[in-house]
Amino acid sequence: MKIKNYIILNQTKYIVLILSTFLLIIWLAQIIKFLDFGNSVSIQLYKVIEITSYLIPNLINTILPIIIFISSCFYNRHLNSTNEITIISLYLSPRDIFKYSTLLYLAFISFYIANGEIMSVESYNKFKVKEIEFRNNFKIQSINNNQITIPEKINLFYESKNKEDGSLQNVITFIIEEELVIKSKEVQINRNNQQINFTFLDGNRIVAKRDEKSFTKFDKIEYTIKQNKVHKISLGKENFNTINLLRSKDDGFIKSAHRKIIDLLFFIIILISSVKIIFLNQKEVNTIFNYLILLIIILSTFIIISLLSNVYNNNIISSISYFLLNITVITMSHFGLNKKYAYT
Amino acid sequence: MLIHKFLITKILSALLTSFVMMFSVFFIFSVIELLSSSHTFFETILLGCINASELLFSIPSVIFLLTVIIFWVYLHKTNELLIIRHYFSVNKIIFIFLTFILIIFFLEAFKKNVQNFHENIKESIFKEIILDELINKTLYVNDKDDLLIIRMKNIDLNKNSIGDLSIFKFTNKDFQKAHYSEDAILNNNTLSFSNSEYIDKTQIKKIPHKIIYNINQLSNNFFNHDNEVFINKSNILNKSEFNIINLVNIFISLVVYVLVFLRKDMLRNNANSYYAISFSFGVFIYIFFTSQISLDRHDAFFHLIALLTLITYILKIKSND
Repeated sequence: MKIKNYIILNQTKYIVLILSTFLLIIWLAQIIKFLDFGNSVSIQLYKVIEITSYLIPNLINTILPIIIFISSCFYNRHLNSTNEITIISLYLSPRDIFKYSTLLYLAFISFYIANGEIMSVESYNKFKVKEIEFRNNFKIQSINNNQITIPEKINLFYESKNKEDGSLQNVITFIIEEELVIKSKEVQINRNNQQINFTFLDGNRIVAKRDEKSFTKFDKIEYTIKQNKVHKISLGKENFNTINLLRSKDDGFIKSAHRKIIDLLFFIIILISSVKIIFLNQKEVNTIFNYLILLIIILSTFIIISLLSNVYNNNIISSISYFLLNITVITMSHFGLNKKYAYT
Repeated sequence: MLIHKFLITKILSALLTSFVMMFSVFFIFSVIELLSSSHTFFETILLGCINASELLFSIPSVIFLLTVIIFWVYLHKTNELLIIRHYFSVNKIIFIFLTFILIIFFLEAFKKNVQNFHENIKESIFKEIILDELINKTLYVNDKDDLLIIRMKNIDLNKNSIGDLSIFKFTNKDFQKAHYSEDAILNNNTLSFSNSEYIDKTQIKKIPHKIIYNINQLSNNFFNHDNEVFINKSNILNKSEFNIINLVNIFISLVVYVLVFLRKDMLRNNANSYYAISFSFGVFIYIFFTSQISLDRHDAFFHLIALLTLITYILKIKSND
């Protein structure tokens, strides 16, 4: 019993460690994607971290199959390098391993289903709401400390900033929508949730567009940017679980549910193979080369499944053919993954 | 010499493993994200590869961190690391790691260029899709005391023509002149137009002759998706992109990753790998976030504190060893 617990604990340890590492990396990459590089991020950073965190459950199910494979390779290497594999083979028969692994499979499959059907859907719904809130906020970016930008709206290039009232001194402003350039000695900015008011003092207004060409002096000009709020959340297939997708009348949603079922099958096959990879006794075999071959099989299977989904989404094959072809591919990859194993 | 060779082989093997591992995960992640898009299967796989590589090089430090962890995993259990440390000092091992540290450091320093390189590949592959659309762009070109604002509307990338072109020129924040043309041509890094209208502080007039503007990096920015492009000719080493202290921090953090796993207590068989892994990821996150933050005041001081933290840690490891 102790040896089984030891194996389960260690295997889970490897999976959790590698999964957290990759989640962290992808999460950081998502944060970078959300933030605009090179700009001040003080306003956005906290919000972006919060919003992207809602994508994590979805992310887990996406990468879990390949993570289980990678962690199995690492654990196998550990067992082989410490000779634990030989000791384990003395105490556990292949039948014992099958029994313990069935328990482990069930635990992982339950987690995969619960995460995919409940947690991912709920957190994706929260993500959608928060994302719209985020989009509805003004994204004021300050670049190089001498430039203020509201993307697609306005750009201000200033010489200095008054520390007392925050007004900008000696400013060139380009208002994108109006195609208008304003050169002013001072700009005062007032902001609330709905709008930003700019007051330009003492300067020139320059226009060079199709219906107006002018150069005029002014004492004071006011300009307001109003917030265009988006209230409607567009629901995608990620907002529903498999049962609701199957109940839907939308053909795309039903196809997406079918894809989820195939993903589950693929995950089960990876799980079954992973236990065999862990107990692969390969003292004299080139382990890295072996892992590479297995990785190629898994990636090729994944690519073929994607191809079939693409073909299915374009209505080239029927749902029955889609399932039959996928089951054939997954079964073949299962045989490919099992071919090289020896547990002695 | 044999140990040198052995170490380099092991580092290379760890680097390859971390690269393949990360690429596979990112590839699967990217392809699944792209499956719902309207691309063909071949485009999806190709875009998946490019996106995976883009994701990989957006945080190159992580490739190195994983390499160090895998290197430690490879050598630790077999006590090879203990033997190596017996013959080599930490400094010598870091020296062997230096080539890899420098490669990753340059990838970090020129991350933006690597990102642009990926963007350019995507753009050249999917150029036809972009070519069909009429687009609008605004360029802000800073050159020492000069600022050019170039507003381009109705750009036809098939004909390289611009339907509405407005150019505003400022010197020392003072307005000099503006041009408007309905018939401008883009040729490499040159904007040319005739029959334009000219505006300055005193007059508005028509100019029949041809006017040419040479703008570096103009053509590079045409096929990307940014509607607003900022070109800084006089200051290529933009503060936010190329903060020297930030770069030093990144370099030192790479050295710290190696040191964390070469500490004496990490050579023991019962070494606490969780502590080392979480600590090095902690350092990574700390450096990642501090490099993203830019303060209005005391910015250099803020980044200097991050640098001092890392140096203190290096000194602590050195003194314990």
